[in-house]
Amino acid sequence: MSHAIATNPTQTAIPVAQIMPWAFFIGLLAMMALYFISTEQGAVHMFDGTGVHEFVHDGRHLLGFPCH
Amino acid sequence: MMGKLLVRGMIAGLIAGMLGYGLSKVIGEPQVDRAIAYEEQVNQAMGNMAEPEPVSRETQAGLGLLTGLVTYSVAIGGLFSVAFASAYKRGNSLGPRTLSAAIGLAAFVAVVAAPALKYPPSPPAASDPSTIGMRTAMYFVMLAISVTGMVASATLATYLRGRIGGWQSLAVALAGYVCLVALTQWGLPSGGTIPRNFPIETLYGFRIAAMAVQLSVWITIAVVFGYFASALFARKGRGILGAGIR
Ligand SMILES: [Zn+2]
Repeated sequence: MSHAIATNPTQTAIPVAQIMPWAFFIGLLAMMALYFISTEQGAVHMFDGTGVHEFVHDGRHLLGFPCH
Repeated sequence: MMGKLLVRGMIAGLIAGMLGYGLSKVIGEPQVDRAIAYEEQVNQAMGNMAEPEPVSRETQAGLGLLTGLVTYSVAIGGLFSVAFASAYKRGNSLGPRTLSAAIGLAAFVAVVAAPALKYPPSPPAASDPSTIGMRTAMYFVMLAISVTGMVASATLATYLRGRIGGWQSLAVALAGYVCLVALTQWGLPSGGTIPRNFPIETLYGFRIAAMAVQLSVWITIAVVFGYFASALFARKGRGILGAGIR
């Protein structure tokens, strides 16, 4: 019983090697998503026009990102 | 385990985003509407024609706002799960729910509160559009330094814990973080002035609403994710123990 508790994986740190690929994956995805919400067609732009900016505009202001 | 935690972080973010949308709608949109009314008043006084709107106000305050809140919260929820997985049982003995709450508090301070002290959330028409490049750059510099400082501070607290004790290490680490943020804010340029005639109660109301929305998002993620992680670990733990007994 005590042996079983000692090897319970939910009581030890999650190995870095297991975290890294997921961290990279979600890091990239989150940065892209946050970029479109916070900055696209503001200070810099990937697409021409103002459609993306105008669509997420109220959220951009209310989440505290710089706008107009 | 990491994949399962990530999914739970994103679900917690989805819930937080929908709640945050509801709150934005109720307390945020009235202030945005007032700011836009002021903006139109100024435009008319200056004899400018009303600009053609590529996206209607209804869409901006509806689907657009929902998209913004949900995208932000799901992304934050995902990153939150990575921070949680990296910190869990590493130099601390906190359980899943306590750790989730601690990360939520530290992250809210680093990501929202500290940058907002220097560059507070501002309603439409309260900033100079021609300075958007500088304001955006400075905001992200502030954000990056604050987040890096908080991670360093947490690492320092963990390192000092075995040497000077839990509370002392926390105090030293926090003092370091506060000094870093204070120095950064002292050194960075100001975010610019508010137009003289901008309605002050709209500015104030908007900032309170924006902070309330952010608080709601981060508290929801921290509480819901803590609950999910705790339930996941309890199930996994039981499975292992069961196998051990048999
Ligand atoms: Zn704007």
